[in-house]
Amino acid sequence: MRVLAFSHYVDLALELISAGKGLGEVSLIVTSDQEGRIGEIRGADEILLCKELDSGDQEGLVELISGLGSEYDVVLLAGDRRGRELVGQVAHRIGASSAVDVSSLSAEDGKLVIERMTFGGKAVAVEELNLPAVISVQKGKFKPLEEGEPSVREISAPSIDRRIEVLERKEKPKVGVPLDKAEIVVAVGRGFKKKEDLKLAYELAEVLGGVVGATRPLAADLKWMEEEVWIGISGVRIAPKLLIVVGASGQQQFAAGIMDSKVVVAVNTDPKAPIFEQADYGVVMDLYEFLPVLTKKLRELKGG
Amino acid sequence: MADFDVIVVGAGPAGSVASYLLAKEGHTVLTVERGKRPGAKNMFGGRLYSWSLEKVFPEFWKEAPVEREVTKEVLGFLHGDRGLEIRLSARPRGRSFTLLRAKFDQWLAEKAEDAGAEVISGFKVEGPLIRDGRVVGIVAEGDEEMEAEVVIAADGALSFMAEKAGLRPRLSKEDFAVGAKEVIELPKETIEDRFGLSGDEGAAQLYVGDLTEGVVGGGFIYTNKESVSVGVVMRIGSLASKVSKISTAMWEITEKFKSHPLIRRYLEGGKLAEYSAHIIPETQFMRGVRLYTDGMVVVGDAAGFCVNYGVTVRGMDFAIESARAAAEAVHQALESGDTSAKSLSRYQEILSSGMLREFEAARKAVDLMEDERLYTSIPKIAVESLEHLFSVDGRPRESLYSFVRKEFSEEGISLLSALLLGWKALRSM
Amino acid sequence: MDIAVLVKQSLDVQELRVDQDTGKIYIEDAPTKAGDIELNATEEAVRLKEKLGDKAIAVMLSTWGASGKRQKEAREALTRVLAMGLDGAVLIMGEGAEKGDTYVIARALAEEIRGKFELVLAAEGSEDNFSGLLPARLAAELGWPYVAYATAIEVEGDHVKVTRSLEDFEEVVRVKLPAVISVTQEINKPRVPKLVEIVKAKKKPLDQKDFSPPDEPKLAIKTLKVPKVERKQIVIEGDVEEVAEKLVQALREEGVL
Ligand SMILES: Cc1cc2nc3c(=O)[nH]c(=O)nc-3n(C[C@H](O)[C@H](O)[C@H](O)COP(=O)(O)OP(=O)(O)OC[C@H]3O[C@@H](n4cnc5c(N)ncnc54)[C@H](O)[C@@H]3O)c2cc1C
Ligand SMILES: Cc1cc2nc3c(=O)[nH]c(=O)nc-3n(C[C@H](O)[C@H](O)[C@H](O)COP(=O)(O)OP(=O)(O)OC[C@H]3O[C@@H](n4cnc5c(N)ncnc54)[C@H](O)[C@@H]3O)c2cc1C
Repeated sequence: MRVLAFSHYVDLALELISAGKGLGEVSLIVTSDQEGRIGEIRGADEILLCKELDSGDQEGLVELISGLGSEYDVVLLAGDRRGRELVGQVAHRIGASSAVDVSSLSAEDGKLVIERMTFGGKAVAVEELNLPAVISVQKGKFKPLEEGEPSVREISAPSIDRRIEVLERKEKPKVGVPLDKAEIVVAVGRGFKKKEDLKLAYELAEVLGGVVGATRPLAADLKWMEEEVWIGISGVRIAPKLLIVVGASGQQQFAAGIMDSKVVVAVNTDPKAPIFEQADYGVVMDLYEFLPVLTKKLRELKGG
Repeated sequence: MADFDVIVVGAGPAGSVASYLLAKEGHTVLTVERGKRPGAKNMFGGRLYSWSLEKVFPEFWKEAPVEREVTKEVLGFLHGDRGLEIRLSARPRGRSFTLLRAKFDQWLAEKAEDAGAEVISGFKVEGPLIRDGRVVGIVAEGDEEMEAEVVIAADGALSFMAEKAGLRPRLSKEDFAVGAKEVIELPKETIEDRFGLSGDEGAAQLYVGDLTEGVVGGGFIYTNKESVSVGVVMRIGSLASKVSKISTAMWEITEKFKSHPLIRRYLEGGKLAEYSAHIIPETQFMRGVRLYTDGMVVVGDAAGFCVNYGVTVRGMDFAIESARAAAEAVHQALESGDTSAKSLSRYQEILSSGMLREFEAARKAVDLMEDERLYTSIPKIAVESLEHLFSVDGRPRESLYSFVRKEFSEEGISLLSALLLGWKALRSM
Repeated sequence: MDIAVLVKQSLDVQELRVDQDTGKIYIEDAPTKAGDIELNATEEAVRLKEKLGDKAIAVMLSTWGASGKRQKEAREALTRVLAMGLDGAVLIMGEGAEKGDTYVIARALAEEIRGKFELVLAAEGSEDNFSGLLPARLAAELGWPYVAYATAIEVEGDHVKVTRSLEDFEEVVRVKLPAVISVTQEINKPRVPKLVEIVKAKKKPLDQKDFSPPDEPKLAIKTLKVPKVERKQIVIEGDVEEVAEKLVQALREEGVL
């Protein structure tokens, strides 16, 4: 099978190569802004270097990948927002099947069989995709390969009739320890009354040596977190050994992001909150009352 | 001109039946339900006596989502981990069906919709809209006003509509009982096997005994098609004085009931599908309720038409019948163009010549069931006496008569009053 | 400039029951509704239309067959968005639609949209599937530009200015109309319709059409599995000090401290 891969993020591209190698030969598209990192790329058979295109140009990418795509059986993209934005457009342009956020993939009888979460994480769909197929791969599911120096071939960018113009781009603050790699996470929800109160969670995370994550409303809507990163189906899926969920109701879309956690603790004033069904240990209590005491106890433990 | 001829608050059985009948007469009807869908929030034990709904929809069971027709009645006494069951296998007069409210209420509401009523769910009504001492509509959530010639309060046991319209006093905890119920899924064959049923036959099983720790109340099991409804009913008044948290107490007692050896064998291997709790109006408070005022009538649980027999509750049939009477009175009032209290008093008249007699009788029976000994001493004596009767271990035995007499005197009950109690209990059930 | 809002009839995943032991998923029993993010898309359409004075129409292609229950739910979902201020709705429904993949659905929707609308608003992902594939495919089918993850939209003549939120930056782009744009939950706060608006919404034009698949789907669902997540669900009771103590103890025993 011939596989074409691309990601806006070189780190994710490495995961795509790994996923693609299970299927066959992998060609990776590298854009001008990524050229400097070519040396880090392992495992791909070939690098298609397009010096005329920047990874910030979504329209250009749709055109480039759709143009190349018809020569491949499978196109792999990454599960970040821009990666996902490309999937449907490219698939439709080349008349391919499609799926996003795929957690496993294999070739069977001339089809691509994939698994992905559906129904807000309550089910996993096993789907059989006709070839060609365009899919995005879930982050963190495939380990980058260490071996294999790819050959490099330069390609040119197709000319396009541009209809989208980027006027402005504002960087968001960078994330410290990424949530999906953290061993201990304190997840906060709308149970916190104001931004300053998050201090209680940061203190708890600090004694535990963990990081603070949030539900979507807190991060994306209220923007109480320094970084706009949230846990869940539309955000990050985490897999810490300890997760303490504080003041979050545990709606399905959030719950989908915490399923791989080893031990889950929930603190919520509402005994009927769905989060308690997803927790190993439940504390039905006001977080303002409980967190300071817990933090104090843990501090004593760590200190002595 | 008012926005609607009639606004009905609540799409439980009472609300939907009233909506259906009035829409069918050609009146414009708006039905407002707080739950996400009709029935979404509603629960009950499990049995509908069909007499009243039959008058609205003859042979409704052929079409409505009912579960099973009750053909087996069981009365059980529990004491410690022992128990006694009395099984009546006969078709009593009048049909009754087990059902699940989520489906059934939705069906009834659809009937109302098909007849032309606008049924809107997910909207809470805050109270009646009152102008110059007359109810002229409703105030919906977000302070929105909506006018109607007549408002029908079918908003259930807590009825803020009736309270805010001054039709009933503010109620306290003591005016209610509580019920908790679980729906436990089991394969159809397992249910038929364990309860001795075939086809669409169903069982209704009631239990009294020490599980409620002296509180008036008991446990029930109703069989559905592929699940059983299991739960307990208890009087809050007596409960409130004993435990601080009613909801945890209800849950614990339900658990205790389910794990009793006699009950457990019915449920083994089943899967919990839902848990719910609800309040039940106690019949005493009815004494302070008025059923109508200018521009408004009250039906169903909101009017207190619910009888709590201690172990079992009956209210659906009364809710439906009262809604039917109200619909008739409201229809006449709308036709005559007079929706004053005087005109709507027809509602009470219709009830007085019909349902109220049945309701009064049922309520009298309840007064007899008040005796706490029915829930403590009687089950104990019944279980221990039979245990005594069937115990053979080669040692000389006391006669059953003297054993029973001793049991009674231990419980401080004379034989005569025991007989009376038994007789009353039988009569009231 | 007329606006189409794509409103998906989503399974209410919160109410969807799955059995972890038997792997059974009770899809038929679960209710459906308009997805939450579709309400954001509707709100945005209503705001734009209030400024532009044109029409905004909901378009729903139901993928749950055509049973009475699903029809009723579809109409209820549309009533809900109509009550928010849309001018009308198109409901496309029929047996066979449940087998349609995003390729088939996008093609069928394009038929309804082409020539009638200049702006299509959609949710970044549907509530039950959250793939975001449909608006992207629809744009490709129509040959229109596509911008996802919008957190603000402004119309400027025959262009729209869209602010969009990506993982590590925020972008402002200018897009030539006609275009397809998908929005996030953060773009606005959907208005809650009043009772009277719901009553009126039931009288707004709702055009129901039969679905006929324009082509064969390109994928098939083989199975749906239920992931097993086992949680102890122990509720720790006591006063604050006791609970904290017991929790720390339990976490130590788990070896996660
Ligand atoms: C398609 C789609 C995708 C989505 N994706 C995501 C996603 O990826 N991630 C995500 O998080 N959400 C997502 N959402 C939103 C999600 O549905 C919920 O709205 C969100 O998770 C709720 O966040 P919350 O728990 O912080 O807030 P709420 O649901 O408001 O819960 C707050 C909780 O705090 C408790 N509380 C209040 N006060 C206290 C106190 N003093 N002490 C203790 N507890 C207290 C309350 O009892 C309540 O349970 C998505 C929604 C849709 C439609
Ligand atoms: C544990 C238990 C067991 C029972 N067992 C039985 C039994 O086996 N057989 C039997 O016949 N009866 C039984 N009952 C009693 C029966 O459930 C009630 O009598 C019956 O439901 C009354 O019907 P209703 O329409 O008056 O009120 P409800 O069924 O309570 O309906 C009221 C409706 O109004 C809605 N509502 C309330 N407030 C508002 C508002 N402000 N705005 C909008 N909508 C509102 C509610 O959501 C609800 O849908 C039982 C009750 C309980 C609690």
